[in-house]
Amino acid sequence: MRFMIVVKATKDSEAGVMPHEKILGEMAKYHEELQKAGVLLDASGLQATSKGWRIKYSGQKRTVVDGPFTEAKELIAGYTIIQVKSKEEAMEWARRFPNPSLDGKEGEIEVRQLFELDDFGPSEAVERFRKMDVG
Amino acid sequence: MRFMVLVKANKETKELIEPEFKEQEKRLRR
Repeated sequence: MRFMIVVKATKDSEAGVMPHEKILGEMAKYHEELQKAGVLLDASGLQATSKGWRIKYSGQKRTVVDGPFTEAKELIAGYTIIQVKSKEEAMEWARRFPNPSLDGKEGEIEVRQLFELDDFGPSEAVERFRKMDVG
Repeated sequence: MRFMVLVKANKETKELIEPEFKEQEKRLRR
């Protein structure tokens, strides 16, 4: 089972404040533990939404909206993907995730289970994803 | 450069993939 630990954005992360050595060290230590346990698949920080954009769909119409976006609680600043044997194991790892806020105060992470290709049932399109080794 | 394309959920996908979503909405309405 794969889970994504999503780090929610904060005012600081949206302002482009770079993580200081202390938080980088805590994150490195935590991710080393994930790796040692053989559960780490991927992890990355995301740059502020001021450097991103959205594409809104309405039927066939597409509209590009440039960042920054303001609803900070709905924005994400990073992620870690782990592969574990149970939801409980994912919960254990999530509880050990360092406080990701840059000022050490209010922060939030969210954990979401990823779909596996087998969840979709038999499908020619799913087989094509399998061949790409994604999904 | 690497970019992540995030697919945003809407009400319909939330109802499909998150059975607890309806419960959560009910709780919020109360």
